[in-house]
Amino acid sequence: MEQPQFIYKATDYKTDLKPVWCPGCGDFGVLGATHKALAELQIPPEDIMFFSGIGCSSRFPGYTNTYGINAIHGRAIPLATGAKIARPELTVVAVGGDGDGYSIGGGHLPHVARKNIDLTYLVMNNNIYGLTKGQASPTTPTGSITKTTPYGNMDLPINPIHYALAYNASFIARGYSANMKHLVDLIVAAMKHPGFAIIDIISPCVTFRGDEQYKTLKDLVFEIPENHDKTDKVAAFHLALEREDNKIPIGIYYQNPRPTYHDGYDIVREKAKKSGKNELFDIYNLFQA
Amino acid sequence: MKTTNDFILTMIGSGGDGVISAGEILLSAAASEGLFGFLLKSFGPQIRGGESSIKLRISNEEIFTQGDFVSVLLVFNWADFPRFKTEYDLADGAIIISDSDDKLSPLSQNLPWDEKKLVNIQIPITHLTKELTGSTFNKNIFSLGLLSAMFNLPSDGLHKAIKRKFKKKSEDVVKSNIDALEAGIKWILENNLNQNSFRFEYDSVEESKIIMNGNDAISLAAIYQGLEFYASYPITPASEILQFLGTHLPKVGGSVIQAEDELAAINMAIGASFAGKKSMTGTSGPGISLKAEAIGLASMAEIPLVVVNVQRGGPSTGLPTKFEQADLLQAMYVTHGDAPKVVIAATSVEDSYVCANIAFQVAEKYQIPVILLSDQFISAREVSLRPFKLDKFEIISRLKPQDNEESYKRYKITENGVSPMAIPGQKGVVYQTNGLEHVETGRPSSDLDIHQKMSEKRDLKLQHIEKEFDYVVYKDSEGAKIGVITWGSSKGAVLEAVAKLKKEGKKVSLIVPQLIFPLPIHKIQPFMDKLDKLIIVEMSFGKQFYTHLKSQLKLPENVIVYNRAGGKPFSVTEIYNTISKNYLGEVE
Ligand SMILES: Cc1ncc(C[n+]2csc(CCOP(=O)(O)OP(=O)(O)O)c2C)c(N)n1
Ligand code: SF4
Ligand SMILES: [Mg+2]
Repeated sequence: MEQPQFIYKATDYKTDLKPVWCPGCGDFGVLGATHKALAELQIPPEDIMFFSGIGCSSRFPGYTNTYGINAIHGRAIPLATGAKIARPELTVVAVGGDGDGYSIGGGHLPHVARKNIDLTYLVMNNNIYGLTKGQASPTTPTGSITKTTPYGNMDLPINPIHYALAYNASFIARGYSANMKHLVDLIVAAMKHPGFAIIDIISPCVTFRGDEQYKTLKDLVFEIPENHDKTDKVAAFHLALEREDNKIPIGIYYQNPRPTYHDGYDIVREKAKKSGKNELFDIYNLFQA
Repeated sequence: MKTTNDFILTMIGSGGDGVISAGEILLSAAASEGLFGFLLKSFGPQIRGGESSIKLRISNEEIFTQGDFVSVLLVFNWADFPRFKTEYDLADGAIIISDSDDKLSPLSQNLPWDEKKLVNIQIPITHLTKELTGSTFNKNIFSLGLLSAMFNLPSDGLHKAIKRKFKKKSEDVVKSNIDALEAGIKWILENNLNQNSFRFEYDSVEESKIIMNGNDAISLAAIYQGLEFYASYPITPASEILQFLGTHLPKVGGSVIQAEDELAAINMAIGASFAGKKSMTGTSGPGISLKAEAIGLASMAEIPLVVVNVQRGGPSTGLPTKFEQADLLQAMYVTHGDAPKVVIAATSVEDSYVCANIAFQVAEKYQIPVILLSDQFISAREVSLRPFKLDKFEIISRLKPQDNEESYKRYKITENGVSPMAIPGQKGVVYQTNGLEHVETGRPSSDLDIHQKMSEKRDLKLQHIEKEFDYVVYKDSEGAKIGVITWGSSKGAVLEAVAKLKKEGKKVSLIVPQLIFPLPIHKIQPFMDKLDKLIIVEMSFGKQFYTHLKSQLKLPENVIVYNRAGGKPFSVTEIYNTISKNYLGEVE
């Protein structure tokens, strides 16, 4: 059997633009893992598009040697959706932060999930607004002191896994930026998944939430056991509930492929063409008196 | 008996009376006999059913408005009349036809017109329909028969239109409607009611017409230009574009998506355009407010995009089913920063085809967002017009680099500001971009010299567009001292008013820019320079067009703004009176 040819190395997916990120920022890990995953999948860089909103994490496309745009706050998902529908043959990835994806852009998540657009969404969740220098985000824990919660955060944080489960995302996972190998595997699985795949990635903001996080997280995260049934929604929901020991399962919570939007649109196109009159002139003729 | 070549019919009725479908059938009849027609529909507040009315003008000659004065008013149900009475004016000698089976009659009404100048005819329409056709179901078609025989409306066309409309249902339905039409005609002839004070006189023309509205025309132009992606969120009066394209675009390979909101819709369109496909999004004023930020992104990242605004009455939810021209300044200044964008305004249904073609040409050639303005008055009218050639416009697509082009720069500074745009999938020209200020490669930069230079680059495109796409409708009257400028759908009434003055030997010049921003100053300033007096006509309480013109041009000393808040289109008479009152005579 012929050996598969490995043409692209992880570094081929890296641009020479130096990230603006603070030393120790979790996003470095996510960037590295993504480049490794792309190399593992051997997707030609010109066949990939990255879309992001605004935030520290949203700078990501600038550091990735594929087509990409660091666009406007909260709109990574619709940009990626339009691009994927326009070019289903290309690989599309949306990236961004917890504020970008769960707050200002939160209204898009239900729809990309229910439409099952075939794209991968990497959320670098740091429980804070990094770029704007430390305000509360929708995943900031209750009681936390931030610049906009000087007396402690009153709000309950969003549980991204529950959120995605409720909206029927067909692939839901959680990763940790410091567990490189595990994260690479998750990203590969997400990109291979036909349909919408979301990975909520714990990606510490060392500047606004302190670098002790790495120490605590090391003991808190654990890999989801092999025997977890990924097609069991209720089990996934249970797994994502807050635990008494505060431990955080990482891995694939839920995966259940179903036809993608693009599969559905092929059927739409066939139905539309049934009349056999499919030229512009045929359409124009409908207006003839 | 007087004959007329310009016939205006209004019908008013309740939910089941079939007024709208009668109007559509008569328009289709007129069109199939080669006549021009202009149909407006008006509805009560009910979402479904409820009272409705139509105004239909037909003529052998080309018409640009719905006409001012109604020749014949048919009211099925006088209880519905009050809702519509401010919408219509009756001609002197107009004939009012009422169903004498109605409990109310015109006599019970406080008519806003001089009753001595009107003729009242009562016909037991409901009763007769039942007696002669077996049910009251086809009352509207029976009435078309009555009208056809009374006023010589195109009866061959009516037969054709009815067959066309009902053939999808069944032969029985066609037959019962044809029977109803003929029963109406016969009844008038038997009762000698075909001798009225006037009748419609026309010549059937060989070439039949097409029937179209403004939203259809925009959609067709988009398909012709190679639209491949349309995303939108439903809103009156723009939803028909989403519906039309949703039905037809998949046939030619494109995709249509109903987005979760307007922010999503425009960003999807930008994503699709970034991915290399011709893209469009459409909405009305409230939706544009939501799309503002993304329009800035398309401007900054230089992504071709057509954004349609079918204007309705504002502000806020405003008058959703009426028209206004008050989104003009919004279109030009919708987003923060110095964000070059182009505004093109359609003036009629045919012109919607023209302007949508131009919108795509500009967007693609100059990699810039183009806002195409239409309004409810254009989108919701159905007109019978000359068939037009679809392919009279060049199809323009964005400039692309070669694969592996050496030292490719996405935002290379060029003579006209346009830099080749690589399409994902292209090898060796991969680039990353953003909404941040950037250098020629697309890399972010907050260097102030770069910001200056790149601002110049983006603005340069506008300077070229102003020269290259300087579309205006211009009717110069040699020696005229007075001129009229208007934009968008107000053109129709102004055009007819100026034509009327011309017939009287009066000289009035007229200019209507389709390219609104950047305004083709090299064409409009010379027009202004010849005038002593300028009349600006616009349907905006805040005089937005005047504000725009003032900022771009040196206007004549004497400027009159004829404007009001929207809802009811300008009549030819009011424009005619305004110009007449200000007429200065001619230059000797
Ligand atoms: C419309 C708009 N509102 C607000 C901002 C300011 N802003 C930029 S990034 C950001 C929050 C970023 O937080 P997150 O998405 O979590 O990204 P992080 O920086 O933490 O990676 C905000 C509020 C903006 N750029 N645009
Ligand atoms: S502020 Fe926080 S999120 Fe932003 S780069 Fe620094 S560490 Fe990372
Ligand atoms: Mg964050």
